[in-house]
Amino acid sequence: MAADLTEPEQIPLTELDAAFAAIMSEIVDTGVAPHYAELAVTLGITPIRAKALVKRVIDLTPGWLHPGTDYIASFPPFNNQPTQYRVSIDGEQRWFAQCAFEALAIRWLVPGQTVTVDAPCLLGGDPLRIVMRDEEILLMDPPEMAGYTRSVVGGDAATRPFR
Amino acid sequence: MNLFRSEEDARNWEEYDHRMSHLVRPVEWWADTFSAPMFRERGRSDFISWLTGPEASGTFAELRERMSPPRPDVRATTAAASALSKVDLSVVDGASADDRSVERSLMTVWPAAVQVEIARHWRNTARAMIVAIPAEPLPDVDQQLWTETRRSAVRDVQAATGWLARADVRAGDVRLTHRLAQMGWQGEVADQPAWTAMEQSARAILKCQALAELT
Repeated sequence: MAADLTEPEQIPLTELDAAFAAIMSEIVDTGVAPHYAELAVTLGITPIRAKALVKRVIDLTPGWLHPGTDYIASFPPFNNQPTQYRVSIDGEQRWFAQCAFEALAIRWLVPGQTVTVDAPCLLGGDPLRIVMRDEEILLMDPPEMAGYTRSVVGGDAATRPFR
Repeated sequence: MNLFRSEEDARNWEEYDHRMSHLVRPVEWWADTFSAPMFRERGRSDFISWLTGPEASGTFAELRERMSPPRPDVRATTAAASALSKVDLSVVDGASADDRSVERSLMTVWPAAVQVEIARHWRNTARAMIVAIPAEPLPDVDQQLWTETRRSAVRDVQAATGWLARADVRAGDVRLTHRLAQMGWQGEVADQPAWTAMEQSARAILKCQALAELT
């Protein structure tokens, strides 16, 4: 029997490891994070247990659920809810990044594959493109592109939808 | 966290907050930042165990430190690196080992806040560019070819120092060597005087970073 379903901090790390890996694998493969009922099937557990795992994993990582629901909205580096950071892997656009900077970390999940990030500049709307593969930045257009956040990285959960 | 066409665009954004001005950074800097272990390790099967363990705790502290506001002396050192990388190439044409034109040119763009000791090391860096690459060609080398080689070497030094400024390299960092290797400074080239200049520049830069961290 698994640990107490109602005590998130009592959930064994091995279960959380499995849940995190399954969600990440699904979103890397399809561009979409699974619902907890789908995760239950993947892990061979009950939906209510999968729901508890999703909530705990989200608590431990810089993602979030859509407010008032059990839907995964953000699972960094990806976003389940579309953002302006459209991500293509080996030429196929199927993914969205949580933010500009998490977009730069997607390459670590797809070794050897080419990751392209397309986004508009927030000031003037000009198209911006970054192409990466593993350790290399293959293209940055325009070259003088800059990143900025006014949010404190590592701040409390309320600041997670960084701006 | 967002992308902008340029640093100027980021500062003109309606939601720009000057209290977080230290986080207007080139994309290369952000790419380095998001290369930290906590981002690279997400593909492992025991990620949550790793994330809640002591190793991840250390890397998260490093990440927060990297993104915290720099002290004024560190900021000045980074500004100095940018200044050096922008010195007009023409000032090294024909400059001899005791020529001060590079220094003088550098001083015109020097940030006012640079401390004396740090400034001294930066002047040494600038001089390394002209001292170790002789203005007069070796007897068996064509003058025009030598001049172009010299300019090319200085251009590479500037590219490297500009990158160092953007990447916020710290003392003991080995990425400079990798960067120079990417630029073709390897093999037989490593025996040339310009390579020595590059190494001297690198050492001076790292020394400056160390001084800035200590002061």
